[in-house]
Amino acid sequence: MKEKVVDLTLNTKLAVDVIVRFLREETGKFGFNKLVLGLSGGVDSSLVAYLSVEALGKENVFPYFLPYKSTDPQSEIDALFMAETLGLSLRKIDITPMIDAYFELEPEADKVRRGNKMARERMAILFDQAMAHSAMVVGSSNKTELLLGYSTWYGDMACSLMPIGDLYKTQIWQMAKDLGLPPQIVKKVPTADLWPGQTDEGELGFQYLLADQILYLLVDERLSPVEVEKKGFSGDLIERIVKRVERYQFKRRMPPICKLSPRTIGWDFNYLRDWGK
Amino acid sequence: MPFKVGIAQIGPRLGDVDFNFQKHLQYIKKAREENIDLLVFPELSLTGYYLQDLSREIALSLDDPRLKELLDVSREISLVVGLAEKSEGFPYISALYLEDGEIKHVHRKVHLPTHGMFEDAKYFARGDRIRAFDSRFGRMGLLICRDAWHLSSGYILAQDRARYLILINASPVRGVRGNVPDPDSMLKNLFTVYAYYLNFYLFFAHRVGFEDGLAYYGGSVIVNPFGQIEASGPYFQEALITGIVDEGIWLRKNSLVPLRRDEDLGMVLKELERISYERESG
Repeated sequence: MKEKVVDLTLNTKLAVDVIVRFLREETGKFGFNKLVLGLSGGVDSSLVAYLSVEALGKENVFPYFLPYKSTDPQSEIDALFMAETLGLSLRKIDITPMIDAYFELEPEADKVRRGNKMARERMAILFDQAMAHSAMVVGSSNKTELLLGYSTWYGDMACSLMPIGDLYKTQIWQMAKDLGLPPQIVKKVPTADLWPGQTDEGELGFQYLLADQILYLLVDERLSPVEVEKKGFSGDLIERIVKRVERYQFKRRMPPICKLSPRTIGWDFNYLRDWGK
Repeated sequence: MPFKVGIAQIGPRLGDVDFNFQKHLQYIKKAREENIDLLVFPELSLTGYYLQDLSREIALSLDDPRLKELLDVSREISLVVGLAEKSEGFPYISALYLEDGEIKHVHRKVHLPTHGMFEDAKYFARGDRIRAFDSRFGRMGLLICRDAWHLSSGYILAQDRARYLILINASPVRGVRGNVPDPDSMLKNLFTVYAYYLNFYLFFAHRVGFEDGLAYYGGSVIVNPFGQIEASGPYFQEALITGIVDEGIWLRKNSLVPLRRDEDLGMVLKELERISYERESG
């Protein structure tokens, strides 16, 4: 089949304009003008760092590199390079002691449990640093991983704002390239870097290039799986993607509250977060 | 007589009527300094758009003291403001035309989008009429956002002899792949069609700012009856957009392209009645 059936090309200038204003307004309304983020050296967090600096200025953006002992040394080189490019100073906090202290009590834990714990440890540090700086935590989740549920619940998904949460991975590559982010970061093989050799596409079992087009047709264009297949995509791949999207819906929702009263949060107590702002 | 129209492209604060009211006063002050005769604010300008449960809690009655203050100002400058209007049941999404110390017209949003990201009909009652009215500048029509997507709305106002069509909006961005934020280019196409084929001066007042992740894009415009954009606002930023409106242009266009004269309202009515009858009798 053809690799590219649907064109997902963005108007980068316009998208950046919206995102930058979003970051500025949605911090300012709550009395903040600073952002804290985890900078891993990957394209998503590098792009978020860039957008944050555009929105609030480099003096108001605080990036953290939070490695575990198994983290690829190249990640640190890339994170440092990105921070320097943006005029940011990168603070490194090694999470190895915290993670190892816990897993000494749980020596049987597999790599997924360890990876999740790392993601949640990073989250805990970022929220604490945000408190220290009177800042908000800005997240780096993208639309592809949110839809596929390919992220740690209350780990890397936890944040105050998601500026790139409505951009597919391939759109992030395009935006990063258009904005002149360092090529070694844009072209890097995507990985959560939770264990050596892990790659997103290896773990998911399919390419972002295909997944994004299928997701776009299913989610944005609201085509049925059968209609997507007629566009030339593999039925098996479509089915795997559909199942993932459905299976991980729970990660995209607040936990359900058992309704016992006439008016219940999430059911009939409905206000935007920007209430009064 | 030509008059000067202003569009207050503001970003209201969600559910903070006092703050928004003060912002209205600031823009009115600025407009008066610029000798503006008619100042138009966007949809739900006093309350914010995505109100959900706030809609009942902060809805204003038409004798609200803040509206009284705006009515006093309307002796000097005509105003269009948007608000959640209190009613016995669910509130309305209303637009008020204030002039000479009176509420000259209330338009209650008829078409309440309730699909996808929109929940209007879950929280608001539906208006039941679309009518033109007389102002000191001539005959006017008022529509709110989705009302204008239904072509019948503009048609009714044209048949009701409105020369000036005021459209107030709150439209969130839902696409950034084209040259302009989606749905702006489709809306501008609609305005051209309305202005040219129904023969209107069209004043489009659109808000800016964010409500959670929703970005309202601004881009307010004044379109003349030839379908030309005479003034336009920036995207995403608050602004006061102004233009001179010349009745002579309306008259000239109306005689050069006499679509209003040649419209056959009787035939349209007959056909609509037939369609309605056939639908009801299956």
